[in-house]
Amino acid sequence: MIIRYMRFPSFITSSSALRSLQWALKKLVPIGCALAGAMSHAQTLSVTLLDQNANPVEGAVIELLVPDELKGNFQNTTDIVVDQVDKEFVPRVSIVVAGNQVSFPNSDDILHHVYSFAPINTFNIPLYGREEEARFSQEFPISGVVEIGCNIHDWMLAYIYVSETALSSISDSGGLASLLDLPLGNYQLRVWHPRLSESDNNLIVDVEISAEATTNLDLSLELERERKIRRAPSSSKNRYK
Amino acid sequence: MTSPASSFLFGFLNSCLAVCCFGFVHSASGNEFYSLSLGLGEESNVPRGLDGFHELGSVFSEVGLTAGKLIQLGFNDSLLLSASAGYSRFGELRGFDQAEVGVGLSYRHKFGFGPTAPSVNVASSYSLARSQGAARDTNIGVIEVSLSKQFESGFSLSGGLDYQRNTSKLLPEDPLVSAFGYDPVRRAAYELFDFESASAFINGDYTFYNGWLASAGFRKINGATVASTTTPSLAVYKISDAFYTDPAFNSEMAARPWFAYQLETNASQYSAALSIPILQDTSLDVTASWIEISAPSGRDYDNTVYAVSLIHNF
Repeated sequence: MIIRYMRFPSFITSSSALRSLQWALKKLVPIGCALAGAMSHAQTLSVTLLDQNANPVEGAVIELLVPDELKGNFQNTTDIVVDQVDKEFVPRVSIVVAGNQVSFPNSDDILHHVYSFAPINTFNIPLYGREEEARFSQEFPISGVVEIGCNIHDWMLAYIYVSETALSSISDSGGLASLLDLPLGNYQLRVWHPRLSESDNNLIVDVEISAEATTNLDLSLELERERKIRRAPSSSKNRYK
Repeated sequence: MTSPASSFLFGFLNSCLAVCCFGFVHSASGNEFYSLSLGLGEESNVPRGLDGFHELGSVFSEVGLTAGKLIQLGFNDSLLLSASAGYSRFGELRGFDQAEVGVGLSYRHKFGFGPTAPSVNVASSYSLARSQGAARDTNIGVIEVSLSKQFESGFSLSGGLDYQRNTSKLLPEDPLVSAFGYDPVRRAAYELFDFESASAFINGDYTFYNGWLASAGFRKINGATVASTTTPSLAVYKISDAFYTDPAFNSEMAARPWFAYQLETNASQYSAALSIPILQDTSLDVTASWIEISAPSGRDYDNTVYAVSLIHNF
């Protein structure tokens, strides 16, 4: 394939004219895209997630599963960051679209050693400190859930949900998760939470994205009790003297 | 008693350890930890008395500070250097108050990644314990090897062996003991806290869903006990490895002199603890230990220690 580079007329390449054109494109293109999107799929799915005690479920992931032929329309190239702050991963649950990168900076003044046993993405990032953070990012090419930990601080745990498309969201402290700009039709919605009492912590529900602006869905999740690795200290078992 | 050569070697190694630990902890710029503990407790038999008259209990308070540095040697190997200082103060038996400073070096190898990977730990520590009167002063060196494994269900197990070497400086002649004239041919040593001991131990922990940690442990110790009495006898003297006037009971604290004696003993220590997390790095611990001590000629001692401690990691 031959690629030809087109040369702009000289009045366009003058710096002031070029800046004006760039400004106009910057302002107008998003508006045009938004209008086009509104006409094709302006629907919103709003999911409220409650546990068996009617408490809001925070940190659950919802993902609308679309046919393969539509997946290409809902991709993004957004890399994400999972930081390490005060010996905890922040955030604890993240979403990245398959094929993108996750970086693991270390904001602590101590070393961390990030690892994953997940079959879809097994890796370990050897000891590194705050000043070395730029070097450590990892590609997540396969969709699924990757649990990551720190080999030094056993209580540090985070989950990276690798989604098939960008049609995914994490529930907030009120248990609310929303998906915007959805195509009309009947789909399956995958709900994932690390303590969801289902196979692979997954629940699949059918959902119809109708012509109404917002489709509301209330889901009750059966969550297992949380057993976190203990961080608080305990007295040493000194021998009797 | 150990040979002078082995004592010298042990002391030399521990001195090197002390210098290294203080140097590393002092110069550390990351991966350090600091832990402060404040405790209150009660011990039922502080002087390890054999009978009701000599079994004296006391409440105690204690404070401890530990500073440490973790050095990661590789993916699965780490070295922990620590320095600690502590002070125990008894309510009724002030003569048993003790200050202790120490250093420690611990190597850990994890067989894999993650919290459930089993690990082996080789630890060595050396501490100086100082009391009222040189006869209760001692330097304590410990070498320990342990294995531990945490399970997904919240249980964890650990067990191992340790060797402890207590040394104390030579004491001047005790005129009170000499006056007994018990055994002019074989005089018992004066150094009460100069002995070796070894122990095997196992501990089990269970972490509840709410983060509370329940622990139970057992330790079998083959070593020595320093007991005190106001009624020394030839029989006790003959089975003692050391005998000296007990400085914990001076003339201000006791109307009559107490004598401390060292016996070769086997002890069984049972322990239980409940550790309640209060904050992310703070816990309230309630611990109990029951100790049964068997000495020659059917001399059996026991002791119970209860304590409540507040521990905070900085």
